[in-house]
Amino acid sequence: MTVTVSERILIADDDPDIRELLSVAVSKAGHEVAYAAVDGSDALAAARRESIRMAILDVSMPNMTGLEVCAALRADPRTAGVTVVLVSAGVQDSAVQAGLDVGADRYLTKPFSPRALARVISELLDRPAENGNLS
Amino acid sequence: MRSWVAALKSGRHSIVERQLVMFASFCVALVLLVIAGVPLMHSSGVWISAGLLIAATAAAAFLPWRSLPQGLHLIVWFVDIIAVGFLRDGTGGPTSQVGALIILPVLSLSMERGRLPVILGSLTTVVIYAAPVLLNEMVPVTVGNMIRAIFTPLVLLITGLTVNEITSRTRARANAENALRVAKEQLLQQSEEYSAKLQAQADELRKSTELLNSVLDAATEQAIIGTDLDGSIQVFNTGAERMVGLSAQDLIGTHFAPPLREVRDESIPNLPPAWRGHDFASLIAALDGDRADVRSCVIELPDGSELSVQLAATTRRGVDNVCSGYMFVVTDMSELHVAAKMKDQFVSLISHELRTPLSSILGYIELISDDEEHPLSAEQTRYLGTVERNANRLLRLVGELLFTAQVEAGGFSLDKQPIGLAAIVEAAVESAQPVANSAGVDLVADLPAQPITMWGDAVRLGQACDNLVANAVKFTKPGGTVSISLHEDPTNPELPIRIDVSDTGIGIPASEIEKLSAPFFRATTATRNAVPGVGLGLTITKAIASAHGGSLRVTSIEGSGTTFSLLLPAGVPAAAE
Repeated sequence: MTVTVSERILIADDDPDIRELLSVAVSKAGHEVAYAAVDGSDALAAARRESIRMAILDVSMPNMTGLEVCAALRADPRTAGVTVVLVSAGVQDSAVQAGLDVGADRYLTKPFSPRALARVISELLDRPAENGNLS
Repeated sequence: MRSWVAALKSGRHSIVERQLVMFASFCVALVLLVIAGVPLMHSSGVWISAGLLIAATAAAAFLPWRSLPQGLHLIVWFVDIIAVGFLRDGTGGPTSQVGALIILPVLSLSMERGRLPVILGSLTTVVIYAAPVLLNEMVPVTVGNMIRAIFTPLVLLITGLTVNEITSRTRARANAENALRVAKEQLLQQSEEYSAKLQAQADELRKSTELLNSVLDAATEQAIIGTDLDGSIQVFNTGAERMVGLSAQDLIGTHFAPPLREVRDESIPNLPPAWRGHDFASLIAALDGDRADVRSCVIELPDGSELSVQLAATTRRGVDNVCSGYMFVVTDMSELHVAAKMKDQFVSLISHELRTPLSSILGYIELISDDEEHPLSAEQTRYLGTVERNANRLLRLVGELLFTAQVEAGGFSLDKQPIGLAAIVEAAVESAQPVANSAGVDLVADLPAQPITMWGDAVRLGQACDNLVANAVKFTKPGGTVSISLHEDPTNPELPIRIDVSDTGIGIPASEIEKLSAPFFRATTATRNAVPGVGLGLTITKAIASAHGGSLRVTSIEGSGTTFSLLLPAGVPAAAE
């Protein structure tokens, strides 16, 4: 039997409508939005500031892209264990591969179903944190 | 006045010239006789001689000797001898002071061809010297006169024969010289003709070379480099000079071995692998007969910078069709790479800008639909379903547009792995079933008992099958049937896997079948029957088939139906098993 523990999740997207969708998905999965960042640098600062278990990052954001934020999180020992989900409108294989190459745990393409995202969140957070890359 | 020698050399004996000398000498002799007051033995002889000489001179001057029989002109000199004989007789016979004139006609005869004329002339001289002694009563018959009558002609004969010999030799020499001159003139003429031909050929060669050079140099956007069999540079055009930054003068004759590296620019992933070697042998190693070996690679320029190029190597053949060297055409692909990057960026931008709002629309539709606290009415659910259907339609269209752009940019790749095709076909049927049901179209699948596997991208092949099945349903009227079959075709060993999607739909005009895979092309039967679509599905399906090394075939009868056949290669690479 799996017991879901509410985790703190960082979401980041420059589009407010998408941010709200991400928030709903996080809530549906039974977790808490620690911070809703509006761009890449905002997201990285929040990740270092807040105690988070997961970061859901849009790839195309101002200041820093989701890929850069992900790479920075992996490079920092304090945030290296954060589960990272990248969400992008880019459907090209090279874009997906680039996301996985910087250490993302999952790469989702837009449009995404909030219901499906909630399942992904649950799936990733219900496993031990050190399981590594599932993709 | 031409000299005698000149006359002899020219081969034309001037009769009148010799006769005029004779005539002049005769006149001088008469004048001297008159001045000296020499008594005449009898005047009739003088008058007869003068008359004969005038007649001979007139004949020499006016008769057309060239058209008369050869040798007839000799008569002039015999008349002269007779005239001198009469003059001698009239002026004292053996004691005449002008008898020496006889030598002139004898010499003239001596200069004729052969010895007969001079012998006859000498005999005539004997007659005219002896006649006065024998016939003229006034001339005493003495031993001295008789000796003179015999001895003088004898001396004349010897002199004449000598002159005749000298003349013959001179004539022979003149003839030889003349022949030599003619031969020389002919040789000179031939030489001039050869020289003219040589000059014409040289001009032709120069023009040909200029044309070739101008053509080569006009290709300023391509570097054209010609080498011999050993790689020594023979041609280095202006385009090559511009690209490399070195002059042809410095490179002609040097060994061609450009520093090359394989392609590393990932913006054009479908470019073939480049040469891995840097030496000349590796450049020509892949040449096969007359086929060009075209590669994309990065070259390092003398200034250290790098340039993305396409390098085409071909064999160069001489007039005897034997390989005489190699030709390398290098095209700067930098701008193409920039354009490909820009297109890639454009695809990414459009992808983001179109898919992000669609994400919101579809996401919020789902949230509204899932809101258990505020359930929707049946009408609202229907309206929202319409919104969702159209949003998904828009999403598919955006996806097709982006995929088409990727295909054109050469930027779509496959994630190949061993896949079972039955599952892919089943999924396509399952996916199309709801639409087929609502359209009143029967979907019939014929799958083999044995699994059929291949090395391919399951997602892309699923997309191709989805396109074909969805198309078939879309173009079939209610009550019709769409059949999907998967089987192996042993008659086609290269592409043995075959997925046939047949319908009993409206069909495609035969004249339009070739255009079906062109982007945005729609058959007239589709537009006439208002079948929705933008004409990208088959473009994508064909691109997916081609990327797998397969092909897409179409057979159709307008009004009866269409069959699309996806032909694919079998087998899995040993390394992947």
